[in-house]
Amino acid sequence: MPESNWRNLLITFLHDPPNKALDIRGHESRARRFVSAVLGVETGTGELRTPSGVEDILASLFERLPAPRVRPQGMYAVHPDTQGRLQICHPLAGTPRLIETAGISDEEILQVIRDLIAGVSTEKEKFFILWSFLPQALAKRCQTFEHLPADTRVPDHSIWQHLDMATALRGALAEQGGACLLTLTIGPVQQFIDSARTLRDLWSGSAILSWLSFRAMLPIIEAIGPQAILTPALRYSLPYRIWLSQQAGGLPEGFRDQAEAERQALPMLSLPNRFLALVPYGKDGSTAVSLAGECRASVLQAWRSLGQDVRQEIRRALGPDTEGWDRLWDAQIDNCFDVKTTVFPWSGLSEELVAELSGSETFAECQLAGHAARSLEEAMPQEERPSKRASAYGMFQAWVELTMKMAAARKQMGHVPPCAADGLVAQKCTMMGTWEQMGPAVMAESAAFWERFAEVVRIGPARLRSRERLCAVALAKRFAVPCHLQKQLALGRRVSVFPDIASVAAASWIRKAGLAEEAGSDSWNGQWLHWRTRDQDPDETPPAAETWSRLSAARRNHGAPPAYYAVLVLDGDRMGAWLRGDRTISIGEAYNPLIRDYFAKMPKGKEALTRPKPLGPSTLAAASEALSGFASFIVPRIVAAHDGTLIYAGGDDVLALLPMRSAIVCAHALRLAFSGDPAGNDGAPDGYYRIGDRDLLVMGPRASLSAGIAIVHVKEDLRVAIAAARQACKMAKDTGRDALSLAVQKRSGEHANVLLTWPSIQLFEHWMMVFEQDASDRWVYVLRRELETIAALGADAFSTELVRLLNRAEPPTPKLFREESPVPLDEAWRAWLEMWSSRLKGTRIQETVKRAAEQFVLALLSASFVVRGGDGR
Amino acid sequence: MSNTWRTIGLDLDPVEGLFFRDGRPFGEASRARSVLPSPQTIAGAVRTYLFDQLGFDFARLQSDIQKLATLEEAVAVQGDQFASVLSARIAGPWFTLQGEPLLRVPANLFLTRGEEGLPFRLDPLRLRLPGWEALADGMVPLWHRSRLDGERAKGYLTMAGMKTFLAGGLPKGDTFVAPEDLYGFDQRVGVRISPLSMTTEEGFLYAVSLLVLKPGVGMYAEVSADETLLKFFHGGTFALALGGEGKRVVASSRKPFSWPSVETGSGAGNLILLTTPAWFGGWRPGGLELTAAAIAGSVPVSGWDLARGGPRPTRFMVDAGSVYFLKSGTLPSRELCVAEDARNGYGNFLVGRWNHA
Repeated sequence: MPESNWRNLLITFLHDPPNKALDIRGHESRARRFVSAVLGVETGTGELRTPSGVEDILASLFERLPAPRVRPQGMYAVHPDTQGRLQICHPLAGTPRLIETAGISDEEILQVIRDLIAGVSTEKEKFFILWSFLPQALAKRCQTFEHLPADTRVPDHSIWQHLDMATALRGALAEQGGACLLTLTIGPVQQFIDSARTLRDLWSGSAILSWLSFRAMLPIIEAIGPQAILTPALRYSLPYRIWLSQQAGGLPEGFRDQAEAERQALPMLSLPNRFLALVPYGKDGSTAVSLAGECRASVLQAWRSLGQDVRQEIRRALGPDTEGWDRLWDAQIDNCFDVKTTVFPWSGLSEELVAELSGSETFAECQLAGHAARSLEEAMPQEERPSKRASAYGMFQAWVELTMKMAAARKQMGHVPPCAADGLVAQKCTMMGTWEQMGPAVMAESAAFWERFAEVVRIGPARLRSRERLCAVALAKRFAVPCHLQKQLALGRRVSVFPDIASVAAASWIRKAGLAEEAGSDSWNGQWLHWRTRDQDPDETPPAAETWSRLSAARRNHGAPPAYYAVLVLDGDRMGAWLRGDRTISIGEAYNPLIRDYFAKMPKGKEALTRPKPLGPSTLAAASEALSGFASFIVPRIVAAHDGTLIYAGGDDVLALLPMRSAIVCAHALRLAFSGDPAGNDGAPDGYYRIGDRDLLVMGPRASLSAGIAIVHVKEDLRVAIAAARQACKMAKDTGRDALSLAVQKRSGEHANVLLTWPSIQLFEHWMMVFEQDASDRWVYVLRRELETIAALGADAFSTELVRLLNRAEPPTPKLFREESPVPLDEAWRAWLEMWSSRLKGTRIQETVKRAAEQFVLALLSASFVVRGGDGR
Repeated sequence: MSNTWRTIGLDLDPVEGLFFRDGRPFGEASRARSVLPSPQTIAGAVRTYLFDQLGFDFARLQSDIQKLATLEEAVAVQGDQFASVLSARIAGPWFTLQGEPLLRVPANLFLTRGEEGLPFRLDPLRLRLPGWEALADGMVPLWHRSRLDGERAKGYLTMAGMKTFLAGGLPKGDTFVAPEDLYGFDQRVGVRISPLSMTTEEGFLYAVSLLVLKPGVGMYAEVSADETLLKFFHGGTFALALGGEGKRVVASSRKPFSWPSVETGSGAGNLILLTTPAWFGGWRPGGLELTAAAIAGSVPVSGWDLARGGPRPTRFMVDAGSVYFLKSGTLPSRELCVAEDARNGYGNFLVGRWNHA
């Protein structure tokens, strides 16, 4: 892109001052002042006289709702109240919130801008720095800056969301052909990540995919800027920040330490495997098609390059005598991923086409939200109508919806690798089970090759265990961090000392036992936790005498370390509907009360106000920002606070491993944080989550998520454990969503699945505490034996028997249940039954009671197992 | 040989939990879960049964195969009747519910999200979609003209549903059968026994998940062969050993199932639906002019090469349920796959028709 385009992007990004909402009248001259300071030109210069152009109008039209023209004496204008407060609303929940606007002056804003671009010479660099850091730098001075609205009358989106969209449009409109939405998806994902034998494999698989997602975006970022990526939110994502730090000039002062700290920790790259971008279409689509091709090529090139680095390091370690071991390398690597792209130009969109593609007679019929907004505008007196055209309402939503549908149509062409190896081949990879192992095909030679491989190929902490025989894809996963990612991302030592599963299971125990330092060392082996003698396994290095002695002492003092752990999978509910605009707030909620009242008085106004607001770029940006903040900042904190190891957090999609005792509590904390519930958002307003002095936007009270937890033995195959957790999550979704499904897989082969609604988690936590205090669970086993008979007699009979058996249980069980539980057990049963009745609508009452009773008993037994089953048994 | 080629059906009724391994070598997992039986598993079991009936000398095969170039030659050297076993064509397996085969849901059938799960069907779009890039030969997107949001239906379709589908219609919701209504998994836990001490070995618990069919569910396969071979299936039941673990099923012959067929030529074009996986060296079958395609996914297929004494290379086949929408008037030849694959049950398909979305 020519330098002049970066200049245009700078101008557009600064076309509204960040504090526009505080004083709308003088905002244009203030904007000119900021722009001139950045460009180093006089404020009277022609290009600054009207800094906003068609992109600003389009961004506003895509976004805003009709509002009456501001009349003389400021009628219909909205300003901060006499106490300097301004009403905004949560963009995804519609809940109103008052923010204090006593902020900083224009001079201070100017100083922040000058500090950020000090020493930066080119306009391109200035744009990247300001777009990436200005919101955060201002928020550091005054928190309010993060939430100031773009439009005080429709205060459901921030000034930053408006500026981002206007800038994205400016970039996309730089060429003929207009703007275009581009999608890219990398697949297959789940199989690539879940095929893992160790935690390192698991983390590495998800890190590789996030890395590839970022590499996919890079051609667009470099050509037209990061603002072009509409979802996921890129501004605070770690791969983007790391890349930025590696560009000329690096990060501005004040942000370097934070970036370094993020790199030194176990980094969460947290980018999903798909993105949506706004790009120029170009003549007959040439620019968009070419960019899409570059993005696809960038992914495949990055993956090949990663594979090549791994291959070279292995070659070096194996030495010159092992020619031909990698004969199938290129074929496997080249056929691993499939990258699909689509482009959809704005110019191709018309109301007629939208209606036809949706199977409707008219646009109004298929885009109800857009129609409602139009009808509001049409209801206004002519002289009060806004000057901009009403026909844009709903078009952005239709554009996004059709683009997503086109991407789904492209996905119909699934990935079928065309290759098949020639000649003799070895057996299949022990990790993936699909591709052939590297090395010789003849079995005896293959065994010798892999024996030697395990012995000599040790790259950093990565190595193969005995009997592991891997294909190129699995080897690339295993060695990606030390051979490639560590260099590319300049990662710190933390990724080298990845915990093993036994250490994850016992993480809380290790902390309590004061063994955290040993467990964090390079030489630590979690298997030692369960050894009975210091030299139990001749294949493994024994612990140092001092470590063994401390381990033995810890076992004496704290009991045996837990041998079970939890795999936690979280998935947001109906996230597709959020991104399609089916769950937007109502039009009435988006308005300031002054404007809402104005419309409410009109005929049909009240009804239109209850309609959903058409999806605008800001709703998309808000959902992306909320998911990105949740994944990048909130999930890592909460998982770490519960002694867990986070594998992946990409938006609403989370995979973590935890000690089983803390997993359920952790899942509950994540659920509360996801919607910013005041019961678990560290004191932030409803719909936000507080970290330090920042209130991060989260999805708000209308959003929910479902979770699956699998509790498995440390010796269980990790792939089976992950599959069980995913299956549990699916069960939670299939049983009404917004719940946690717990799958307890005992090593004896006994499996139990329990569905817990989030409100019932507190009860479950209390039961765990009661069992921890030595309450007996024998009476529950008696109840389980009687279950079929008792449940058939009805809810009251079950309740009576429940209380009778509890009262007859050995002391102190009845007392503990009475005193420690938040509600008596029979009341808990009633509430439990009610929950099941609502989830099993249409089911016969007898069936419902039976299912609920069975689940109630399983929940009690699972609570007992979680606190007792892991004590080394 | 009688030179009378005929097809019979086989009902397969498991007498125990079944176990079919995926591609991973033995001994690597403390837990192994059965996958679903592949066509070549059934083909192998049927051929082994026929060889047994004919008195084939398997021990001799091991040595013959070292001397001769191919398996076919090593088998034929024991007699022509054995060679005919290799040329028999075995198709399936398909699950059956109350005796009627079920087929994988076509990949262009979707269910709306949520509890209702209403079906809808994607078909080639007649309208030009702005920006659409055809992957090949002007192929168009598959579309449903509505705002419905859903996900690809999983599981199986009854024959009533399949007839509607092949006629270009939308099967009713009650013709979809979920996998969990057909089968589940039984967990079995074992422990390794030391061959020296005959006692259990500490820390060597292993678990397997066996495939167990629900009541009323069975499997169905078809054998096309010379009459002289088919006589071994007549009269009563017999046992087949399936998979590497040799799990037993009771087989009984029946009249071959009458697969649904529709009149082609009407509608916008014909379609083919894969009822078993097929190998095309990618997603696209050769020699067909396509308007659109819905690929159900890929399935890795390998096996053991007796002649070479090692595993066969992995081939990624297009999975059953994939739908190819053919350009108006065209129809495939009988075989979609190479002959060996076709004999082993791959590349079976049904023909239907489609209309524009």
